[in-house]
Amino acid sequence: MTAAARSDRPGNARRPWVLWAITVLVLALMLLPVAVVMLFSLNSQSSLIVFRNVSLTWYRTLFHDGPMLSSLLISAEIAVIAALASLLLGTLLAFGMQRGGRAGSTTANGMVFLRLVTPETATAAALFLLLTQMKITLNFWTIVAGHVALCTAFVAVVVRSQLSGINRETEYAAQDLGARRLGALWLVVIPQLRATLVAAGLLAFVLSFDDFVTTYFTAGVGTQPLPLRIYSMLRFGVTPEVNAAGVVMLAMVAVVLTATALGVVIVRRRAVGRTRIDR
Amino acid sequence: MIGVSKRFKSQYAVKSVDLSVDEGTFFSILGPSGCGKTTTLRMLGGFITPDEGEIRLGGEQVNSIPPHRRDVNTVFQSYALFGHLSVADNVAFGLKRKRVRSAEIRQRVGDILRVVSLEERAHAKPAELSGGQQQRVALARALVNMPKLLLLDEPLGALDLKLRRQMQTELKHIQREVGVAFIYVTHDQEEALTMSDRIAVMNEGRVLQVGSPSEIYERPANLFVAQFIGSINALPGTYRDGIVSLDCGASITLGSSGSSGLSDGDAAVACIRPEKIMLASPDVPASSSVAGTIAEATYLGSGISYRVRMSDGATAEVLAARGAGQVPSVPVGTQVDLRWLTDDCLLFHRNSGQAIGDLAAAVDTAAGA
Repeated sequence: MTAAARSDRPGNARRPWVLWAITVLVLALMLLPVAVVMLFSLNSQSSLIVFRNVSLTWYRTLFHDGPMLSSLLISAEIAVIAALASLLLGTLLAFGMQRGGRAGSTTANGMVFLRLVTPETATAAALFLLLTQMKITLNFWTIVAGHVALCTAFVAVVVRSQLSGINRETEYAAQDLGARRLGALWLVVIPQLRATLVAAGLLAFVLSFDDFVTTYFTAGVGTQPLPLRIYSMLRFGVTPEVNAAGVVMLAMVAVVLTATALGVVIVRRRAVGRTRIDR
Repeated sequence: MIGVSKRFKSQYAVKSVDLSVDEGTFFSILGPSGCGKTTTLRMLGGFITPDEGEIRLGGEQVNSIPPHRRDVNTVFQSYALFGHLSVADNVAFGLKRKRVRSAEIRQRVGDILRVVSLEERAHAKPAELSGGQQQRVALARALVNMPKLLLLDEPLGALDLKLRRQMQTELKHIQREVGVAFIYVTHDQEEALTMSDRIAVMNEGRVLQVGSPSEIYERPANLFVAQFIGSINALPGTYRDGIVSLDCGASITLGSSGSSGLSDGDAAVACIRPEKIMLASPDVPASSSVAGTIAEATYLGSGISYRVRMSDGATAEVLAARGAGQVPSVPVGTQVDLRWLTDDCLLFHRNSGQAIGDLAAAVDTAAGA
């Protein structure tokens, strides 16, 4: 390639490695902590800094650590319930936001936005004070309630943005062809939202599973969800068992993601092309 | 529809509309954007409730019957196909709502897809089809239910010209074949003229005229209709004592019935279609003509279109079709006389647009009687 040809191309085309270098650097910055966690979970000695040999000791410890496993389970339970509840409520809210008429939707939009931008510590503390005032003992369900309050807003925003792109005429067409108003929604709008609903549900699951702040303010004296347990472990001396727990959490989210993706594919395959015609 | 009106906020979108469509006919509602044709269609479909008046289907009042229970189907402008369903599922949708038996669904869906030439693509998804094919799916999906009335909301707007022409012919054939009454809404007057058995012309919420294509074209009831359909020359003039004197020099004598409702000094407009004006040499004596000069000549292949400048500075468009023999084209700058038959001259009040009937005799020049 001649020097002239090389200098003709735009900046990044002349030195493509620059773009790659930056990408790798940013990805490394984001994923390095995760990589370190995974690496040291396999450490044979009790150090988070010096790596000795590869060993599965800490995983063994984790699986024999009763309280740790209970916490994992509790977190998962809370996440599933919160995800489903906030998916339902958030979707209903999204419809209200999109179609509530000028007055309704402005208010709804404003309030959801407010919920999203308010710092979680503030909302969590406020929730705690409310529960105390109402003389409600903090327990499993108060955690779920706190999570649902948080996740619904996210679900609503995600579903609403997809909803606004859906052609309203398809609903009218469904009604024109004999479906009642709700039937039209179920048969025509919800299928178009399927992918978004799955994504929103997953988002809610992850938000709940991983949540610390709201959980801290709404958890009672029973079994602690995983993030709280790890936090308390961190204060009393930490072993790579924590790393193992982190890797297990990661694995759980990966499993949920894969299962959902597979589920969507299977459902989609079954729903299409059921009408046959006579030739 | 009898006396139907619809208001949005304080504005009338549709005012006192009376329309009657016969079974099995192709009826068009024609008008510019915002004239109320879509609102009228939505009221027929049941999506909007009229504020005043009645809508009757087969003799029964249907004002309060919602769309899903009305025996009317719609083809929407955006087609509104269900993207997550196959073509066959889309078409079967209405039949499934009515709980028709599977065997019957299979047969009817197959039949209608044959009518619209889409059997081969029965299991494709809408996204895989071309615009023209999607439009045909929308049509099949509505027609398979054999409704009393099919409403079409400017369905050919998104197609290119050639495809549009093709679909116009196909739609006409399908309507004849299936025998369902079509109500077709459009702003394209050529489309309405070629496809319809009858046309209703609307503007600003009102129906201005209802008639067959030739009635609308030859005998427009008012100025708006005359100017909206095809091209026309509008020559302004003033009325005095039974004669309308046009600014370009000619004058028109009104018939003796005196029903024109004109008073002295009223402004009027004489309208003549370009193909009805004849060019004549000014040397040949005649009792009736308007003098002018050829300003422009445009070769159209099937004829020549002339712009003729008249004495008041206004121009008239004259279309000279080429007949079987050779017609020599008239060069620019030639002095000519414009002549037309009395019957071909349409007279209207300039302000109200109302038609003035009963013209007598031929065109006179102002100079001599």
